[in-house]
Amino acid sequence: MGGSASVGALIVGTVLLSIFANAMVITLENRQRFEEIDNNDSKDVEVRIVNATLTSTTLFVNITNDGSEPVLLSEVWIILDGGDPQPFTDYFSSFDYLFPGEIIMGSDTVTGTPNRAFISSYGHGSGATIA
Amino acid sequence: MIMLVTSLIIAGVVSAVLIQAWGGVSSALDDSTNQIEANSKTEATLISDPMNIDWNPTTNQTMITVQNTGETTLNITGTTVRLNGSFMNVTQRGVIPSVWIPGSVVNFTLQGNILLPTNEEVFLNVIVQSDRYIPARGVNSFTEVVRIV
Repeated sequence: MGGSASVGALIVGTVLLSIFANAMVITLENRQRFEEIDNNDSKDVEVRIVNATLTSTTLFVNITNDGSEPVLLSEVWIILDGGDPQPFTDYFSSFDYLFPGEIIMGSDTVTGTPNRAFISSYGHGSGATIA
Repeated sequence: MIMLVTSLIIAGVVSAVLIQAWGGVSSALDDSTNQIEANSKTEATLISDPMNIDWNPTTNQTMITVQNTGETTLNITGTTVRLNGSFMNVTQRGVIPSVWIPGSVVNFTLQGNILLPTNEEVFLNVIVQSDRYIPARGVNSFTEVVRIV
């Protein structure tokens, strides 16, 4: 009788031990995954228009990056008077990236006389009246 | 002998119940972590100038551009937009891109039978979802105040 109960208890005990070990493994795995999620911040890119000037039919736009990470100029978009966004590479093609603190001047031919320029990238936008 | 067999059967049943219960808990933990992970990789932001959202009162349409700022490919047709609280019919303007990879933008036409006076400032709410991200689909939304012109 006593021996039978012991064998049964041994089996249940072993299963409980396995479950506990499995729980530990899952907890550690989840902790690692949550740490990775926590480190998964959005890009720190803050593009800003320094100024925009229209000379005849050419629009000159100075932009900078107030963030801490470089951004591809093909991922920076410029919008004139709420129109269709154009990649900033249409205005500036000498380099691929806009680095933190860097100021670049882009230019492109425009039709009409737009009043407002707006640039946007990775959730940060900046607008300016065209002088 | 009978006692031993009975004991083994009881131990087996108890073990099976315990393992099944733990399996359910473990699976639920995994599912919720997968969903959180998928959501954290899914993100989009507005590229359009929020001060100049041009509303056409004849066709009841406007156009917006949204950038994929997350780390996973987004489902273009899975995008949902609410303008001033109303759900809009959302269609991609043009066919490019066909795959909405991180960093790229998609132009959308929004159409809805709503009245939006000029200079009205309303909330634009955009909900995006990832393409099938095994084993969970990520969801993200953002809201911006926009001025109708």
